[in-house]
Amino acid sequence: MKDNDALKRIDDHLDGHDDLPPEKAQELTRWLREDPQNADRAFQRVMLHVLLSRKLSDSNHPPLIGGASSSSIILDATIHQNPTRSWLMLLGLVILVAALVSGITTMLVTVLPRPALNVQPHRNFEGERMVTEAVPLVRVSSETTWGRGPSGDEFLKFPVGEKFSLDSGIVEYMLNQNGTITFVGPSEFERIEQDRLQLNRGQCGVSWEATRGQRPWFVHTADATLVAQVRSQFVVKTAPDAGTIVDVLEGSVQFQQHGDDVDRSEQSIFAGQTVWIDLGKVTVVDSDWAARHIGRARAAADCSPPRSVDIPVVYDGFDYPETLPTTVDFTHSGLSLEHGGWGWSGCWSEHGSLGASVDHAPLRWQHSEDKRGVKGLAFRDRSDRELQTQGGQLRTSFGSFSRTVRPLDASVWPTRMVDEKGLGADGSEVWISFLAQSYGNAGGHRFAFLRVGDKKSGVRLGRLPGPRISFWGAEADRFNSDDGQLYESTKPADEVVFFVARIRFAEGEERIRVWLDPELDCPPSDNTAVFAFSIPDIRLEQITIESRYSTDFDELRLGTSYAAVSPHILD
Amino acid sequence: MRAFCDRLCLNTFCLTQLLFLSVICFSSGRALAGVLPEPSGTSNIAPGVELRHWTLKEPLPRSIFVLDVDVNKANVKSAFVIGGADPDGPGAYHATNLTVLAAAERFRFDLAVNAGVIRNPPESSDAGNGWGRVYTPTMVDGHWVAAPEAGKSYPAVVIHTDGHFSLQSFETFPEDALHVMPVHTGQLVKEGKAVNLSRNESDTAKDPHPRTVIAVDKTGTHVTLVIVDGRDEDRAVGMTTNELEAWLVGLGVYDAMNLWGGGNTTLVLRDRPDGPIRIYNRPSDRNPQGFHTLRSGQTTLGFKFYDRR
Repeated sequence: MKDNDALKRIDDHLDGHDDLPPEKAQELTRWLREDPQNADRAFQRVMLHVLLSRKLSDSNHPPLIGGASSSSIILDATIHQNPTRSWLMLLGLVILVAALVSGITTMLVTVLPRPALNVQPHRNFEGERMVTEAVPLVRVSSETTWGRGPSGDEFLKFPVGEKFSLDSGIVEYMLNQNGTITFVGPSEFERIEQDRLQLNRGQCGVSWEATRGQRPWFVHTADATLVAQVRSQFVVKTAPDAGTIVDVLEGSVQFQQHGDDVDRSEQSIFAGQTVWIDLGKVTVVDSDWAARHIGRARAAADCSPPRSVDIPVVYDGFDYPETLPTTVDFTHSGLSLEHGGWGWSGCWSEHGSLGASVDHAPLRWQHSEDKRGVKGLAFRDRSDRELQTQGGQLRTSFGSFSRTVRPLDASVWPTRMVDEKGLGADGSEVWISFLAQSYGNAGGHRFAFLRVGDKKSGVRLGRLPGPRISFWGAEADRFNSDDGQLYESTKPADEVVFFVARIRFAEGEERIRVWLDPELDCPPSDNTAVFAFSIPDIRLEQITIESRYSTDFDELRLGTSYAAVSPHILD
Repeated sequence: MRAFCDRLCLNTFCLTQLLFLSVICFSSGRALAGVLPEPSGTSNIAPGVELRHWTLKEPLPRSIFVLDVDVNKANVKSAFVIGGADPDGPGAYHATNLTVLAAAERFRFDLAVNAGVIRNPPESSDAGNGWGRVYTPTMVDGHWVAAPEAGKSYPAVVIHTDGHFSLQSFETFPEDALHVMPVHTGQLVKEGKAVNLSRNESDTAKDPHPRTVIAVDKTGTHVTLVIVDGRDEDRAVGMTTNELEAWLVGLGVYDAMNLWGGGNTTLVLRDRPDGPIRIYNRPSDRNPQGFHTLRSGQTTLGFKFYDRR
């Protein structure tokens, strides 16, 4: 008997339209015993009828408003229909079968040991039902280089056992209607079976929406096999002799460690947890450590369409614990040793006479004329798109000066952008963005800028010493000298600004364009740049945030495209 | 009469227990005090840095890491850090909490072990992300963070400006001290002989626990770090201080000091110049799922030995 026929027969019988002769009753019984789910569904039908009958048999039941409807007719029929003997027999049978199935299942679940995870890497799944649907590649970052790439763009059609290497960039494939896999270069991987990925080196994010009857999704690394059986989203990073990091964003992931002397063979990681599986043990790691090691892959996995999959190569949102503001009367170690975000080769260090601090909303006012609001720095473009911001922000010292420095990690950039001198090989292009606001726009010697460059020369973006120090500007600098030309805007420094700069590295000089508050959805055109100038050859080695008097900076991003440094959400 | 009998029975029971414990301690200490078993693994990590590891099953499961560091080597530099940045300048707190792993990454150490802890007084929970104060005496980079009081004696580890180490009780600290680390319970080995620390100590010395120990040779230029895992019945039960002393004598060290142990015991190591810093031992603290967790609020003894410019 087909499922639909069986359910219709039950419905008809319950509604009093079918007396259920013995042969039909036997057929129905067989159907009920075929599959525990059948008994379950039949039981639900019966209970639904019982509940509705009880509800509608209430004498105070008000008449239905709006005239007759098919449902009211059926319900009326149910109300006036006295249950027949066979109806009662069927009800009893269904309840008995459901109770038996339920009891046996409960007993099996509680009494029997849990079966080991089915994680044998070479199990032959030929002949099993394959329900994963291959859907073409959906998103690719603007800077993507394959060392050895797959010929097609459907993950499930990649030849099994063939190794691929993504040198740089981010590539996303759909696994099924709701699942995606996102590779972040540099990565090396292969498909070892239909639903099994072997990640040999690098990072990937998996978003898995399991539907009924669908097999789990497996990711193998040298240290463990990860299994997504239910709805889950997670990020994996692995490298030879460096272990495997697993960061679960949603749901849970089961895993089984490889090797002899390992902790328990089968475990689960839950949403919000990040663990490091290395040298046979599983260690919980803190959020800063996780962000440094897998922050970029996490951002890529967490960046759902229609947003671009471009993710900054370097990021720091200054999401550190709040510290006391610094003044000429009081200072502390500032951001020294803070080590969040990703794309850096070391932590922040303080080199000024005072330290910077970290503030969170509601922000403090440090001066009677402080123009900063209580909310953190934020930016909305003219179409109401909002730049992604979160957490704390850096606040420079109030009075005297703070100089906060952090080195960039050239090794995380695409190799073609790095030459023997560092990041900034001729022909490459780097985008930088950040938010800033000064406490006020009083003049004097109150400057505040973010500088990117090497130890000798770089680019300063902010409010710069000069005749129009109260306005946002830019200049090329020579360290500790003022021979660069100053470019000034008309935007006051006590207003929030979204700075975007592009550095095009060319032979002998670098070409800089700067935009203030550009639209977030597409790259700004060259002719809308507020400043455009050239500077002598530089390499990007470090970021410096230097200020005399209090100015806030936040959401510092460096990337290979405008999209990478302008992630936004539509209101 | 009844009271007398009861007291006699109790005393007899106590004496029996004591005798039993003495036999256990003596036999286990004697077994360890002899020639040490062959290490399960040995590797030269870098010039002047050698790692030995023992994974023992009998008579008890043990996991012991021993790092021999020759600070005479030009590539080897040592440092002592008390945690994250000073959060309140001239205020009461000295550092923010860091794990040994976090300290090693921030200070770019290639090898680091837990040295001690910073105290987190209850009021510090309102002050920020775990602000703490160091124990006395603590000196970092030639500056006293918590200066010793005159006339008192402190068991401590001193790293001198020329790089060599001194481990002893100090009434007056040497003028060339660069770092001073307070130690936990005191000296384990003095001039090559076991001190029998447990005679004056509480159950923490008599019971087996994870241990972190620093030891030196007679010149103070060969540093031996001993990391004993524990609180894991299947792999590593830990050591009492008597067993530890016997093991240290077996290693042939001249002076040895007990650093903080238990859940603080952590060894992180970069085993190749371009590799990551990894957690080598199995810290004994675990979360409800059984995953290892690292304790924060640590002071850290670190070494750099790779040229990674």
